[in-house]
Amino acid sequence: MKKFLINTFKRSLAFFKKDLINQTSYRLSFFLNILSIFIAVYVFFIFSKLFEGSNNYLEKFGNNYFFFLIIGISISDVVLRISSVINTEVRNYQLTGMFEEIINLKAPIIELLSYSFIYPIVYSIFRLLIFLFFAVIFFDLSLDFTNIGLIIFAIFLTLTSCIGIAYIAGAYALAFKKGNPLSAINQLSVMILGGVFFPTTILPDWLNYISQFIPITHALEIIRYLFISENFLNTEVMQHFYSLALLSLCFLSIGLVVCNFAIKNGKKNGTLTIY
Amino acid sequence: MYTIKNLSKYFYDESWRSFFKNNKIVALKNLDIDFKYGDSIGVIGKNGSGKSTLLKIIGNILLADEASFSFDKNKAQTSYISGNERSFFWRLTVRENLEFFSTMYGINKRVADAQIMKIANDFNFTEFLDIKFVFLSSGFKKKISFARALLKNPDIFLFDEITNSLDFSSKNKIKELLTVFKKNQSRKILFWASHDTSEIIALCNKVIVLEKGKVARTIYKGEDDFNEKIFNQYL
Repeated sequence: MKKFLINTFKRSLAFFKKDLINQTSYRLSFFLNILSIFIAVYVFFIFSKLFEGSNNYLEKFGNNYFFFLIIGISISDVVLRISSVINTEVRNYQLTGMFEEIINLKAPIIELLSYSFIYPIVYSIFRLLIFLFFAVIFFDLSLDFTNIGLIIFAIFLTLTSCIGIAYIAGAYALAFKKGNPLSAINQLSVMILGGVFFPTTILPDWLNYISQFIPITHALEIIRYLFISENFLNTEVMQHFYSLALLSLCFLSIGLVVCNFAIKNGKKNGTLTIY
Repeated sequence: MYTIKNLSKYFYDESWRSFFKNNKIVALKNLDIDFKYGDSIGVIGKNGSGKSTLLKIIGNILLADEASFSFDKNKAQTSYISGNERSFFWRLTVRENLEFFSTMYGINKRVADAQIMKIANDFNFTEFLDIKFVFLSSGFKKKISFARALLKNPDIFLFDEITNSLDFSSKNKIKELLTVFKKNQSRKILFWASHDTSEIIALCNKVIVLEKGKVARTIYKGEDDFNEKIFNQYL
């Protein structure tokens, strides 16, 4: 057991180092990414001026649309990035022929694919912090950190659900290669039904009902609520926590099962390395 | 002694035209082979005869549809080395690539560092260790593929047309490296799939000829037919 844990840690570190070197070697892209966050925050700041003043839908968010938007955008950035990790990695491995080498390693493929999450998670959290940093420092966004422990826990649950979704999208890429509709559906549902740009209460009842099956809906409700000063854990937030935990568990279980099935099937049919 | 009996493998055509007819493609059919420590086995045959499929099945990259193995394929230490240069991380240096793979093979960092230096010395690429993989020539990239396989130190090496698209001198260098390697590691098993019969003559003590997924014949070194003229008939 100890040896397994040490090996897992070493492999995680090796994947992180490999991805870090790889990504930072595109120096201009790295700096442009950071610059684009600043520009995005600035644009959203200007955009939010349109909705200044009292609004029924934004009342529980302190009538502050800029706050609403920044939290939505920064969390959706994490969600969309992590949800596409396996799909991107699988396509990359298929196109470069790296899959043969990965299979050659004799470790379970799902384990090796899972290491690919480490760098994107670290990078996404870094981007999230940069988003909030710019908003707080340059645009006077007020955030209360009293409930930071619970917020971190909510982000952890959100990441877990994204990992599950990523496995499902990865399974599609393993089986059908190109034209992944799951990624598009995920992207669309996060941006439209997840409460990123507007509260889900605006949506018609039937769409509001569907939005409850999207993890980010609950994540945003929790994180926005807990970032507002003098707000503490209450029954409504607890319900969102339960829903988020349940969805995370469901997506992760389904993701692992279908991804494992796709790998086994691909290995049998010899289609893992085909693109 | 390793034996594989009744090995069959089928692929399925997924194109639209296969919708109206039988889409089963026979890659290998009832193939029997055996090999032992120290064997260098040449695998020859026309394109599509099943060479790569056979090597990939031995390397556990592909699963056979039917077969009985005298060994546990999941535990057998094999290394499949193809001519694919893209199976490295091009923006990492040679050293970073080799360190990454040695971690994946579960080799201790100190041991891996020493091994990388030794292999780099033996293969004459010490000065290229800190060069990004993208800047290496094709011949060099294949040398690094072989170096990576050596790091893993498997019992069975499966070389799948690794000298394809190499110029004459690079091919000779790889051949020299392998000849020296065979002398030093006499217990290793080596499979060498190739269309270059001079490589087969230089490196192998036994040749399996594949035709339409079946073993057409096996020729041993020392037999009259162990020559380029005969081999060329099957290519």
